[in-house]
Amino acid sequence: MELSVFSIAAVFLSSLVAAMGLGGGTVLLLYLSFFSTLSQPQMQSLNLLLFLPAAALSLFFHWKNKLISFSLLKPCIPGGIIGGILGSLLANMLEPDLLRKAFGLFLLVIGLRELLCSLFPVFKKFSQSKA
Amino acid sequence: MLFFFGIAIGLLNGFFGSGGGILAVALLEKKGLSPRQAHATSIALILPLSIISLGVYYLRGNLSLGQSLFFFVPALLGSVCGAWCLKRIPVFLLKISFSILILYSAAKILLT
Repeated sequence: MELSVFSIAAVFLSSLVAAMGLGGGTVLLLYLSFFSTLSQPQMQSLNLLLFLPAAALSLFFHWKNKLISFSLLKPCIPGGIIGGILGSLLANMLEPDLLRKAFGLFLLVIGLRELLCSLFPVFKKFSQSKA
Repeated sequence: MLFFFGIAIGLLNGFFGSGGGILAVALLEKKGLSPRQAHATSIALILPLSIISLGVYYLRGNLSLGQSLFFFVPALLGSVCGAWCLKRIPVFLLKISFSILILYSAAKILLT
C-alpha cells in the first residue's frame, strides 16, 4: 500500500471502527479494494498485519480487566490454527478475481446481518440463538 | 464443539483476512459470555490465528512487510481514539451507516 494521506487515514479509521466493535478490518479492505492496485490476497494479508498492533494493545487492557475467558479460549485454539492454515492456503490458491467475488458475497452477508440486527433487536436475539 | 468453532473461525479469518471476529463474538455470546467478554476473548483468539495466517500469506508471496510496518502507528492511534469515541458516539447510528456502506460495497464488487 502506498504511503499517502488517504492510506494513513484509511488505516486510522479502520482501527477506530474496529475499536468500537464494528468490524474495522472490513473498512480497510473496502478502501484497498477501491483505491489500491493490490490483489485480493495481498489486501487480505495487509489487513491481517495491521490488525496486530491494535489487537495487542486492546488485549493487554482486556487481560488487565480480566475479561478474557481462558476456559473457552483454549479449546478453540487448536481448531483455529487448523482452520486458519486451511483458509489461508485456500485464499492463496484461488484466482484473485474469484476470491474478490467471494469477498463481495461475504460483505453482502455481513452487511445484511448488521443492518437487520441494528434495526430489529428481536431478529438479533433470534440469530444469536441459532448461531 | 469448541474445537469445531475454532476451525470455522480460523477458516473465515484466514480465507477473507477478516470476519473471524464477528463469528467468534457471536459464538462466544452463545456460550454465555457477556458482549464485553466475548469481544475480549475473540481478540485473544483471532490474534494468534492472524499471525499464523500471515505466515501462510508470506510464504505464498502475498505479504510485503516493508512499508506496511509504518502503518502500525495510525493503526494504534485509531484504536486508542476508537475506545475514546465508543463512550461518546451513538453506536446504533454508526452500525446503520456501516451496514449501508458494506452493502453498497458488496453490490459494487459483485456487479462489476
